[in-house]
Amino acid sequence: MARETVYLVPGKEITWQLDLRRLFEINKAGNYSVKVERKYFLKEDIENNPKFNVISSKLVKFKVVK
Amino acid sequence: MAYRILIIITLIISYSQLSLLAQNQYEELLMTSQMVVVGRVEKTLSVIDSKKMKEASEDLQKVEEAVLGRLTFFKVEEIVSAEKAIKIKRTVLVYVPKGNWTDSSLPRFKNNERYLLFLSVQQKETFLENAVVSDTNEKKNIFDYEFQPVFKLTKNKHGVVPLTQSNEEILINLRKSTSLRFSQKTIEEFPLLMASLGKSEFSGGESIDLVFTIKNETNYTLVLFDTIAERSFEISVTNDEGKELPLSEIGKEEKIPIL
Repeated sequence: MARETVYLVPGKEITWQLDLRRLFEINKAGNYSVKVERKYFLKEDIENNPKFNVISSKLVKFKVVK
Repeated sequence: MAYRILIIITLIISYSQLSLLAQNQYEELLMTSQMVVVGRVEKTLSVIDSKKMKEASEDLQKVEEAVLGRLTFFKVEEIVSAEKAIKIKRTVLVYVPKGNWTDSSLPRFKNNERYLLFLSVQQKETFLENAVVSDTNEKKNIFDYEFQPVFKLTKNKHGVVPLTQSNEEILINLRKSTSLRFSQKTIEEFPLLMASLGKSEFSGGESIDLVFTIKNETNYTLVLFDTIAERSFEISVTNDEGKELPLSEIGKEEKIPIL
């Protein structure tokens, strides 16, 4: 599987989608919450002094019923 | 002459007793000191080479110095981004040896509250990571709380923090975290990570599609390496008890592929 690098210019956005049930053992009915975190770099830092930053999403709550 | 010698001997004995007392108090401090480090271990970090070991050792020294440092919790009441959350509420804990906590110095953690934790070492504040409180009962002592995840580094009788595999990972993560830069930019200069599910209730067997978007609201070009969603994002699902759900077999294969 090829690795891909994205350069996200100011004002632009990029979207992903995946099935949580496929990735995690969500087998029981109940309340759940999911969060997403991602490391990123600034292009201007890459060559000289690469430092990563982290962004986090809100906690998203959901319910699974039988 | 004999009187002078007697005074000198008395002074020497007194000094020795004071030194011994101070040493005992110091040893007692080391034995009872316990540092709680809340952070996310790099899950993919499995191989530690000699260079990283050296760097970890250097950081171990910092952790040694930090045992009597200060832990600062930033309570996250609205998670728009980690950087914005810092602005919301700040709770300061002064680290003291176990047993010396006072009610006024303790925050009241509640289940699913989220914190960004900083560690101050010699007046230098280091971002450790963010964490979610995972237990449901209110506790009176910080050492009774459970975070997701929680790591405890305890000094032994020689005053040394045992370097275990998990500690190495924490320390390397700690070193990486020092590169995070929160104070250099204004709020408007951070990207936004938005996540949504479309609806809040799902039936059994129905796919639970998570859609997440990074919007670049900065004036800089962002670089995102390895944009395979399953692998390059830290996605965690917790149940109503605050326990993180394990990856499925498919999830394991996609998160950590065998190349």
